[in-house]
Formats: sequence, C-alpha cells, structure tokens
Amino acid sequence: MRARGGDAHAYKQLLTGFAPVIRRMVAARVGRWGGQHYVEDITQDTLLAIHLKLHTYDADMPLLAWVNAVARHKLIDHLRRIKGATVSLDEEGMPELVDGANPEAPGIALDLRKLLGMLKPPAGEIIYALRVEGASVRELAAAHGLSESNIKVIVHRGLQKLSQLARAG
Amino acid sequence: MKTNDLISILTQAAPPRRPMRLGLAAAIITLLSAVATIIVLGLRPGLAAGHPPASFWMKTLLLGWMAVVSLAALDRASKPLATKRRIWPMAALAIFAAICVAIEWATVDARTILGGFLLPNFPCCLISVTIYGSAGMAGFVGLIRRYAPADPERCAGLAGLAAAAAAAVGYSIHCPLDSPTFIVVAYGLPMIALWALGRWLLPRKLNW
Repeated sequence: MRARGGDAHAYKQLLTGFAPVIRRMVAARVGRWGGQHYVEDITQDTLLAIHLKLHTYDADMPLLAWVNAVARHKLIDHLRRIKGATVSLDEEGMPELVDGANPEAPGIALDLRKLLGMLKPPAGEIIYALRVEGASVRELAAAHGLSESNIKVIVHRGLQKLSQLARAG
Repeated sequence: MKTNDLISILTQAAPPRRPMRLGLAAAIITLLSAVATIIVLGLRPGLAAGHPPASFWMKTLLLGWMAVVSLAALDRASKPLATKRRIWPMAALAIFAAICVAIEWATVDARTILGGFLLPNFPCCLISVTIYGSAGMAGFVGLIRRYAPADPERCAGLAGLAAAAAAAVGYSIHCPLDSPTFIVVAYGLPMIALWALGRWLLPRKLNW
C-alpha cells in the first residue's frame, strides 16, 4: 500500500476519498437523533484515527472494512462521550459504507478490484459492469455471448461468493 | 478546522512511528522474567549442570505453546477489524495437556503427583508467575494503547494471559517440577488470574 509506504500523494488521495464516505455514514447514523452538528467532528476524529492507527491495517484485508471499523468505533465512542439519547448501536443499524459510496474512490476501487479479482472470470467483469458502470443485462449478454438468464445466474452466484469472501475478512 | 485542512495537515505530518511488535514485547517479557529468575531464584539443578531432562523440554513446549497461542489471539484482538477467532490452536493445546495429565495419572502414583503441591515450589510458582506476569501485562497494555483494539475488554484479558504465559516460560528455568498436573495447575492459575484481572481492570486504559 503506497499510502502507508510514505507516498504523500497517495495518502492524500486516500484520505480525501474516504472523507465523504465516512461523513455519509456518520450522517446517516447521527441524523436519526438530530446530531447532524457532530458529523464533521466525528469524521475528523475518524480521519485522525486512520492516520494514527494505519499500522493496524493488514494489506490482505479489505481497506474499506477496516475504515468502516475505525469509523464505527469513533462514532460509538463519540455517542458514549456525549451521553446522547439512547441509541441502538447494534450492527444491523449501521449503514454499510459501500452503499451509496463512490466506487471510484481510491480505497474502494482497490477493494473492489481485489474482491472481484477473486471471482471466476468473467463474473468479476460482469458484476462491475452491471453494478458500477450501469450496463444492462441485455448488453452484457450480447457482449459475452451468453443468455440473459446466464448473466443473472453469474451475477447472483458472484455476489454470493463476494459476500462470503467479505465475511471471511 | 475544516476537514480538508485536517487532511492537508495529516498528509504533511510525519507518519506516526510504528509501535513495537507484540511478539518482540513478549520475547522481552520472557527474557526479563528469565533474568530475574536467575538473579533471584537461580537455575534448576539439571539446567545449571547443562543437562536438563526431557521433561523440562516438554514443560517448555507446553508453556511456549500457550504463550504463542495467546499472543496470536492478542495480536488479532489489538486491531479494529475483528477477525474470525481461531479456536483450534487453543483446543489442540488443551487436548495435548489433557493427554499428558492422563498419562501421568495412569503411570504415576497419585501421592507422588499431589506431593508436588506440598513443596515450596507451588506457592513460589504462583507468586513468581503472577508478579512477572503483572509487570508484563502492564507493559503490554502500555503498548496496546498505541494499537486499536476492537474489543478492549477481550484485548485486556488476552494481554494478561499472554503476559503470564510469556513470564511463565522465563520462570520455568527455575522450577524443578515437570509434572504435567503441576504445570497445568501452578502455571495455569496465575494465567487465569491475570486474564480475569486484565478484563476487569484494564479495558478503560485501552480506549482509543
């Protein structure tokens, strides 16, 4: 990982790419109890924690999941500190960073490439085209010489596999 | 401060120094424990003569295995992203220890086995491993404050367990008793005590 290796440009790209993702996740959470004015504080706390604890990131793990864990910790820590209204902190309530995140952000793109690369070709390519680039099933079927139902099966199985891979860490 | 300004500052700041690796810290705990044992209590007779019995190596294997397993768990627990817990190394150690104890009880007279607990070595083991382990646990906690544990309570408990196990390896060069039953009880009790103490007292120290 270049950012960890001291490449200032890559590091800036990484932090700049993650800032809106973290902000969105925090806003979705604290917005429920009217704590929007804390969003920027928690986002900055998280960025600072990313800076200080970057050595705890293992390169073979998805970076996004690591950032998500840091952000979640900072969010819970902040809620605990301000002793806000009773808020359920169960994981089901935490929005996934991937949802609505910009897939072109450097860390996310890296994780996506890493994960999709683990799928049997051409599943990764098809899922990326369908879910990120917005291609239609019909276009993909024509491009790969497969039927539309084959494309749907490939996508379904690929997403299942991705889910297993992400859970396995 | 605006977030973009913070990013600029962080980008220009020198990257934080990576803290000492936990494995190196454990090796230092073992070394210091061994040095303190040699200075205060002395080496066990066979080891001082340069001919330790095979049972000594079995004891070292058991304690070293425990230290490695607990250290690996501590390393995983010191990170923000919780990973799958690996039960099998600890389970394999428990099975190995249980087999050793079973063989001992099948082959050695019960009075001989229990007699070890009446010797001064028993309280000496309990006290020494607890003292060395406590010092090691304090060191581990100071170090882990620079890490980012997902679950501070679990991490603090594992810090106590790993420190006690690492200290026990160092202390074992003094204790002449190699009975598996004695090892499990006399070394296991301080490990459990420090694990519980760590979970109870130290999680707040690990907030980040």
